[in-house]
Amino acid sequence: MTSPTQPPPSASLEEEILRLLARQGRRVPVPVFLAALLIAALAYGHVPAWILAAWLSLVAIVLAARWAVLGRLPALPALTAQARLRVAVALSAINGAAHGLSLGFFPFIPELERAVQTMVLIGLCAGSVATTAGYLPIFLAYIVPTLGPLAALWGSGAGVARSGWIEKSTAGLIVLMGAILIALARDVYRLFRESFEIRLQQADSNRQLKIALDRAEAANRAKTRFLASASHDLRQPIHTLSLFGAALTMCSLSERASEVAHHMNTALQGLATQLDALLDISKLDAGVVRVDRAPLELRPFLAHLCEEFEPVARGKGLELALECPRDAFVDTDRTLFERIARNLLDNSIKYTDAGRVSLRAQREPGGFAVAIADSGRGIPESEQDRVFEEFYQLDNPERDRTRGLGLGLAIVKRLADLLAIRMDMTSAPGEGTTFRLLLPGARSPSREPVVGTLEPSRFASLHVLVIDDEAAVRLGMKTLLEGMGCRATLTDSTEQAVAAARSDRPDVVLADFRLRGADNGIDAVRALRQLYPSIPAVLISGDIAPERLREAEQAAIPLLHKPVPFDLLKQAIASAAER
Amino acid sequence: MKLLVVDDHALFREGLKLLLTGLEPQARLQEAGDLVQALKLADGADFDLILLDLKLPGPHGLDALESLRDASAGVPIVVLSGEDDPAVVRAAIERGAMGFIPKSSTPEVLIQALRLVLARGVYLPPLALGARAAVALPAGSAEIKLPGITERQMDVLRCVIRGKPNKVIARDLDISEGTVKLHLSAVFRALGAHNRTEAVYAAAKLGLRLV
Repeated sequence: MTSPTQPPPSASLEEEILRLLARQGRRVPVPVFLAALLIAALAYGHVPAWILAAWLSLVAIVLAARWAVLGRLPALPALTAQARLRVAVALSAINGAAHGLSLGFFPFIPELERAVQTMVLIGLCAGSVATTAGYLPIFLAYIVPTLGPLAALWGSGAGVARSGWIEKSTAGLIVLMGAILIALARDVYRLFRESFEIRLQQADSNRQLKIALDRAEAANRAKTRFLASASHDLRQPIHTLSLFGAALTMCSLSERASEVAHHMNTALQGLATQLDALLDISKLDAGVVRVDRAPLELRPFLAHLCEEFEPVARGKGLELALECPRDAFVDTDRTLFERIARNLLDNSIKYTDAGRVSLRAQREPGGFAVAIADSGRGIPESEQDRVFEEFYQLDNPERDRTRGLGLGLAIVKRLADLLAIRMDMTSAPGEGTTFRLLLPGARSPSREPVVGTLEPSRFASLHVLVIDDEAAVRLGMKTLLEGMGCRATLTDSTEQAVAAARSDRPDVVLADFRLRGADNGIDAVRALRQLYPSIPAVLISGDIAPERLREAEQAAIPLLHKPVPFDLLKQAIASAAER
Repeated sequence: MKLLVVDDHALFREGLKLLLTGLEPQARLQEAGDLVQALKLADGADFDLILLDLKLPGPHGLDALESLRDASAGVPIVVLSGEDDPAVVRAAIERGAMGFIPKSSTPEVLIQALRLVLARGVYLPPLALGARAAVALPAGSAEIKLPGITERQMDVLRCVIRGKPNKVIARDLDISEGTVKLHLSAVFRALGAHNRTEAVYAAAKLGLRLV
C-alpha cells in the first residue's frame, strides 16, 4: 500500500524522473554553492580574485536556472516527456561544465588544495547519483565534464614540478571511481524504475479491486431482491390453491371426489412446506437473514415446545420429558433458535419408535447446554457427517416426497452457525441420538412491574396447576395467571392433575372445590401431595357450608370464596408459593 | 353480515369469497383491488368486517391499514398476509388490526381462523403467540369468566379490541370517557396487559368472542 504521504505515481516513468529532478533542483543549490565557495577559497591567493568571482557567479546563475527550469518541467504538458528530458540533460551538461571549469585553477594551486578540490568534485559526482536517480543521460552529462578533465589533469601531471607514480595512480583511481559510479547509477536507476512500476501495479490493482467489490455488492443486492420477489411470487399461487382447497373441502362431495380433494390438499401442503424449506436455505446462504439477539428464558420456552409436541409423542407411545433449571436465560434470537429446537425435536420423534425423547438444559460455564436426546434408531457413524447435507435422508431410498426433502438438518446447521451456537451430535445405531447445543448465557432482564401490583417478581415463571371442571373458568384462570407472569397448566379432574404433575412439576396448585361427580378439590390436593409432599395449594369454593371450611382446615389448605376479587387471588397464590 | 375483501390478486379474492360464503352463506361481500377502491367502498358503507392484504399496489402495508381504519371508524380489520413474521404481526396489531391470518396457513387452519374471525373472535398465528401449534379451542368457549371483572368492563374490552377509539366507545356505551379509561385499566390489569396490543394478544390466546 502506498503510504499516505506519497503522491500517486505519474503516468509514465519519464514524468516521474522529471518530478524527482524538480524536487532535487530545489534542494541542491545551497549545498552545491557552498562546495563551490570552498573551491574558490582553496584557489584564493593563487588565482586572481575577479576570475574567482566570475566563476562563482556563473555557478550561481546555472544553479538558479536549474532551480527555475527543472521546477517548471513537470507541469509543461505542451512538450513531450522526451523533449523535457533533453532539456534536463542539457542543463545537467551546463552544470557539469560550470563545475568542471574550476579545474582551470588546478595547475595554479598547491598540492594540498588540489587534493581537496579533487575530493569536493568527486563528492559532487557521487551526490549526483542520488539527485538524478541514476538516469544515465543526465548523470553522464554531469560527470563527464567534471571527472574527465580531473583525471586528465592528474594523469598529465600539469603544473606539477615532477610527476611521479602517485599522480598517475590517482588519475587511474579517478577513472575507476567514475566507472564504479556509473555502475552504481545503473543500479539506482533500476531500483527507481522497479519501484515506480510496482506503484503503478498497486494503483491498478486497487482500481480493479474496487470494481470487483462494486460488482459483488450489486450482485448481492440483486440476489436479495430476487429472493424477496421469488418468495412472494412463488407463494402467491400456493396461497390461492390453499384457499380453493379449503373451499373444496367445505362443498358436499361424493366420496371419491372427497378423497381426491384430500390428496390434493396433502400434496399442496407438501409443496408449500418444501418450498419454504428451499427458500429458507437460499436466504440463509445469501446471508440475508436478520438476527435479533435478546435474553430468552429457557424454561417456559422449552415447556411450550414440549406442549406442542406432546400429542404427537403420545400418539406414538413415546414419553416426552423436560428438565430445565429456573432462571435460565440465554442470549439468542428466539425465532431462529425455536426453528432449530423444533426441527431437532421433530426429527427425534420421527425417528424414535419406542422409549423416550428428552429435552434437558444444564448450566455450563458461560451459558447453558440444551440437549435433545432420543432412544430412537440412531445414525451409523459412516452417515453421521452426511445427515447435515442438503437433500440427504437416511432410509428414504425411494425418495418418497411425503417424508420431506431432507433439508431439516441442513437448515439447523446453518442456523446454528448463524447464531454462533456450537452443536454436537452423538449417535449409535439402536442406541438413539443426542444433539447438544451450547448457548451463551444472558443476565435475566429486569421485569417491568405491572401497574398497581406488589412485587411481581414473585410470580416470575411460577408454574401453577389449575384444576376446575368448567372450561370457561379454566381459560379465565389461565389468562389471569399468564398475565401475572406465571405458567399455567389446565386440568379438569384429579386424574388429569396427577398425570400432568408427574411429567411437569407445579409450584402451586389452584383447585376448585367442586369437580365432576364425586371428585373434589381436597381429594385432588391430597393425591398430588402423595407425589410431592409439601406442594402449596389454594382452594376456591362457591360453597360456604361449614363442613367445607372444616375439611379445608383439616387438610391445611387455604380456602377462598367465589367470587374471588382478582387482587385477593394474587395474594393467595403469592403467599402459598412462599410457604 | 357485510364483508369487504381487499387484495390485489383477483384469483385470491375469488377463492376467499368462495370460502367466506361457504362459512357464512348469508354474508354479503364486496371487494377492492387497492387502497383507493377500498376507501371509496368503506366511506359511508357499514361493514361488519374488513379483510386486508398488506401487499397492495400504490399505498400499502401498515400505512394502508391505518388509513382504512381511520376511514371506517371502528370496523374491525383483520390482516390477511403472506407474511408471518411475529414482528410484523405485532406491528399490525399495534396499528389497529384486530387479527392476523397468514396466507401460508394450511387449508384447515384457514377455515378455523376465518370461522373464528366471522364469529367476531380474535385470531393470531400461533407462532406470534409463542403458544402451541393448533388452534384447539374447546367447544363453548364463547364466554370467558375473568374473576373480578364485570360485564360492563368486558364490553369496554371488546370495543377497544375492535379498534374503536375511547371517544367512540364512550358514545356507544353511553358513559363518560373517564369511565371508559377506568374500566380499561381494570381489565388490562386483569389480563396482565399494558395496552390494547397486549390485550388483543391475550384475547387471541383465550379465543375471546366479541359478540
